[in-house]
Amino acid sequence: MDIRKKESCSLFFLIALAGAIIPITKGVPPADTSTAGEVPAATYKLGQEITKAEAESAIAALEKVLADCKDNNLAFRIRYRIGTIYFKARMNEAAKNQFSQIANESDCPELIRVCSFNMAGQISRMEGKDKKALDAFNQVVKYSEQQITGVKENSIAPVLMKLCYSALFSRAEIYQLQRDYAAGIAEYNCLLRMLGQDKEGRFSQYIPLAKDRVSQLYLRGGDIGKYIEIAQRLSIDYPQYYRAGVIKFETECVKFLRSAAKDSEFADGSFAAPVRLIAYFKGSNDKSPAKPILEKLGELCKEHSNTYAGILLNYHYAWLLDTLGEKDKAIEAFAQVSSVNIKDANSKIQPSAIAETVAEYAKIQRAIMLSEKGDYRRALEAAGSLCAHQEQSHISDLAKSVNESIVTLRREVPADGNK
Amino acid sequence: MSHKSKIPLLTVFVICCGAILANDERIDAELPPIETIILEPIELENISIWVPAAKTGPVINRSCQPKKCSYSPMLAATVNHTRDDDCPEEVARLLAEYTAVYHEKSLPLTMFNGWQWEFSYSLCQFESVTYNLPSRGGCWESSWDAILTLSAGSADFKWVDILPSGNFLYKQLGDVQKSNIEVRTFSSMRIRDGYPKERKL
Repeated sequence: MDIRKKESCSLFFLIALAGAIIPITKGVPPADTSTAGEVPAATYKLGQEITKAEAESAIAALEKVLADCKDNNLAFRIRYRIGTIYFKARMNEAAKNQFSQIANESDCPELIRVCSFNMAGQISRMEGKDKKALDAFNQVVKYSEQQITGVKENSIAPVLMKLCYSALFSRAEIYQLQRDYAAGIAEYNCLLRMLGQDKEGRFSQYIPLAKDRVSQLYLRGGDIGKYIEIAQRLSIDYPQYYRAGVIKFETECVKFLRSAAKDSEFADGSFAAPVRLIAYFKGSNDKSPAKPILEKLGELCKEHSNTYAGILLNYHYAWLLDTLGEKDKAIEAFAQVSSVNIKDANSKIQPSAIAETVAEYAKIQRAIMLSEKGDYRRALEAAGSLCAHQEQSHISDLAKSVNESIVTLRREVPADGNK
Repeated sequence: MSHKSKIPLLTVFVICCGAILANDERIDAELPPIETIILEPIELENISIWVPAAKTGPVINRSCQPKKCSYSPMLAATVNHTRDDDCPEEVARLLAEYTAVYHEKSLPLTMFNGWQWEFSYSLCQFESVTYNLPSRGGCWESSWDAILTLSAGSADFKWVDILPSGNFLYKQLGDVQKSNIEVRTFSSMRIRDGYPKERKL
């Protein structure tokens, strides 16, 4: 009897011990957390757009739970939730205060801290408060980098990387807009260093984009040598990058303009270098320096045919041929550009809006050149396909005037091409 | 207490611990994912290309008197700036500011509704030309080239759910939360080589 009493006492003691010790080690009284978990879950169902009244009611419920919550992690989750509710109700000032307060507390769990700095940064950027945004994004980078590099087999590494890279892009874009090219370059270089450290290459798609952007910032800042070095490396290392072919040609144009035209101002970057090169030869009597560039461009066109880069390169090629007086070859090149079926559902040519515009101008220019040759039938075919444009645009207006012009010329000067 | 008698006690102890821990896991699972926002890198593609800009004529004068005519070529700049309902206005404004840098010499950034780059009428006007139209079937025509600067881009605002596993998911909302922009401006308009042409009929 005594023994049984003793055993039942032990049993009771062990159960009591388990009930007392385990919640202490976990830091959560069961009854308390059960309620605490349900309230944030209920607020999650509110959706993305919420009214101020809905927000106030949800926040009041969360604050009530928060007052009794003794789990540190859960308490921060609830406070973070309050911040997101403020943001969804467009109460940005309250949201920012909430996130800043959470992020700056020493015992804040790291993921919540990074997310809070991210939210504070994003909101500040949207409001145009660049200084605050830059500071907050800097903290995102600092804390996420510590976690990514400091903790082995960190299950939250992918999300921390995503937030970190997003913060670095945001910082670089802010600096770019402020024309602080040196600071923008530093951000992209930091991003590239971090992307290079990720052996799994989870975000490797950002590498060519960041390299492209950093090369542009060097050029805009006046460091042409560094621009050429990075751009050339990029086009070799990432041949699949959608701008790889264009980058190769832009680099050639920049090199030529720097040496021949003593032109070293590229305040907008390299995208206007091809038109500046063509303009140079339009105004120059000596066309011979254009020959090696033309040959190189012809090779690039073949290398990148049926891609976005190929369309743009072929279009520049056609204009350069036209400028150099090689009219028949130019007409052929314009025909190639306009024959690419970008609207085909299987077409992967992106950005398609730009490729479509290029192809349409190629058709009109070809029509003009055929008409100059007196080949009115083919000229009308080329211009006619664009006259059916529904919207009023430069292309549709131009196509109409070119079409009318060809009709008149065919009627009045049919033998023009033979003169 | 014998070892045998300890076994049921330990079993009960383990079950109790398990029950408490399981309850705690259930609570974690009940917690919603951590939501945060991400603004993807702004996608903006800029190109500058030579384009046929304007064509006038051939104008034929069949009267006996010569005529003096003038022509003022004008090219309309265009801005097409939109945003999805779920895309915050501020994100759309950011996109406009980012794009405007490439067109600041031709087109000012004029905001409407706090976010939209809009303008009622903006033309890139170039030097007008005058030409003599000869009498008795005199014929005249001209053609212009210009540089078109075209920017096409988007800003993509996303809500992200961070799951307890550490993975993250882009929230699938009804519509995409994007703002799109397309801006076209013209510059450097010049008469095409070989023009103006004075033709004889």
